[in-house]
Amino acid sequence: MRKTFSIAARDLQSLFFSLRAYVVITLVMLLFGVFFYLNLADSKEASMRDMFRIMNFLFLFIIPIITMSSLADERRSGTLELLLTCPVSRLQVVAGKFLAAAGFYTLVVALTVQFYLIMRMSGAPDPGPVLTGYVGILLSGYLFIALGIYASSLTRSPLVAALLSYGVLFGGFLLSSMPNQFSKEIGALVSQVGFVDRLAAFERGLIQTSDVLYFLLGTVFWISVTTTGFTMEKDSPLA
Amino acid sequence: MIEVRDLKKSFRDRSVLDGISFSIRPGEVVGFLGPNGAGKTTTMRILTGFLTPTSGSVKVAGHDVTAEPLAVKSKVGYLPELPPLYDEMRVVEYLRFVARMRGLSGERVHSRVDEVLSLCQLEREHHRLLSELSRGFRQRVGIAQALIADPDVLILDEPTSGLDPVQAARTKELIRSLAHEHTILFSTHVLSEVEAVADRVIVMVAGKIAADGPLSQLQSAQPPEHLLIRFTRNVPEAPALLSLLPGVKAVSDLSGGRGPGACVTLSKGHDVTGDVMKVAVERGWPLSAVTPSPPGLERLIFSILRQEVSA
Repeated sequence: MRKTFSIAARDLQSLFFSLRAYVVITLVMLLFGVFFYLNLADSKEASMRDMFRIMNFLFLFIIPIITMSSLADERRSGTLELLLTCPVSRLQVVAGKFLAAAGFYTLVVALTVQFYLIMRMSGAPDPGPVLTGYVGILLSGYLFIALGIYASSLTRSPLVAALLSYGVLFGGFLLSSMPNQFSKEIGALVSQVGFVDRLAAFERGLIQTSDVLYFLLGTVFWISVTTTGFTMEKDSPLA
Repeated sequence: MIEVRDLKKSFRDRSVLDGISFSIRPGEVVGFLGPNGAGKTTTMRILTGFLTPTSGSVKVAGHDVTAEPLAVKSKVGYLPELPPLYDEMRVVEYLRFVARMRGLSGERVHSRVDEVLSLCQLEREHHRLLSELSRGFRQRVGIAQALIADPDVLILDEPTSGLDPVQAARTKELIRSLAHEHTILFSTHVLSEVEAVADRVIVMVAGKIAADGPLSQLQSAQPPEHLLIRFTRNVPEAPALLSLLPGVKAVSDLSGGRGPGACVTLSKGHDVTGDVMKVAVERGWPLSAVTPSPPGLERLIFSILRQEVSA
């Protein structure tokens, strides 16, 4: 566990050393600030519900920026050779990468709590749905991060990793946003497999075991696929 | 300490290692030679557990690299061809990170970092960012990280690559000083390094081992290139008569500066020691020594490569 934390701490240090951390924080604060103002001015309702939908959509684009370098940069710079020749398991390496990205993401999400506090100054938003909404945002974000790290494990180019993540996440978002476009059976399947409908209950103030399991198992699935799948062999398709 | 048996490695359909076998005893310093693409780096990467073999068995310190990769990795310090450095870290932070990755904890991390900083002469650079270091210092930090856990086995892929002559000489001294306490396998293209540092040489060509043994043994297996003939007094007629012998390419008279004698350059594959002795006895020359001079390492390697290519 100590090695996993060391990897996570080093990754966080690298993230804050680069401009990426500051770009992400600035982007999130700026975009959410604008949407928060527009949303509040438009609906005049003290609710974070629409904000959570916007947050979830925007994080589809923000999270690949956080995860793009995770393993791709290690591969590009040759430091993956260092990690994988130390007495450290692949799971420890991937878990360390996940912890770092998830830790930074949690910090970014925590910074948006200020919008809720501002809302409380002018109204009386129900704290229950806000709390569950944040649980949903965090759980869905962790799933996106696990998927982003998998994309980063496939290539030595952070840009390619980010584009792969965008493709899968945005494709998944589009698909699960329009189950009505398919036949009844396929639409039901898309709705079950997709992540958009899974967030609706969180936004309403409900935490359903099936939704929590969906995000947690999805996260574990992508971490496992990354751990067992990523290879340094020259026959790796994108290496 | 290292046991490799019938090791094969293929990437897709391309065979990179074609059933190589060798073993290295504890405390031995072995130079790994061969042209680019011969399979040296792949072999080293398999020994460190970075790549998995396609077939064959590889044991390091009694542990199988496939069955017990973590046990192997805890015994091996490795310097890849390009030092694996995180540019945004300071030297001391980086070494502490690697120490923790290699299982050190508490005060041992700090004491060991201090030791390797001193050993690799990096004390003055310890607070500098790795991105600011020159190539030579980066290479030294690479060696320091390989040494951090005081491993039984050191695997160094071209440790002096890109260093200036002074830095290269210091690195050679360092490797020499680490011998006997560590088993060392290092690859290089600089043949003088092998002569200066290694107890033994393994030459790889096209995924196979072309030669393996102590340098002197490999040299003695090759036909001599020169015969050094010494007389107790000057023999003016010797150079002219020796040059008439079949298999003699050229003769130079050494009596001018290096004492009475001659240096005979031999045609490839000829050994005229017997003929020289015969002529000397017949002519009553005051012969004191006839010494075959083995080929230099460079010639030796070229000769091995030529034999392999023609085979």
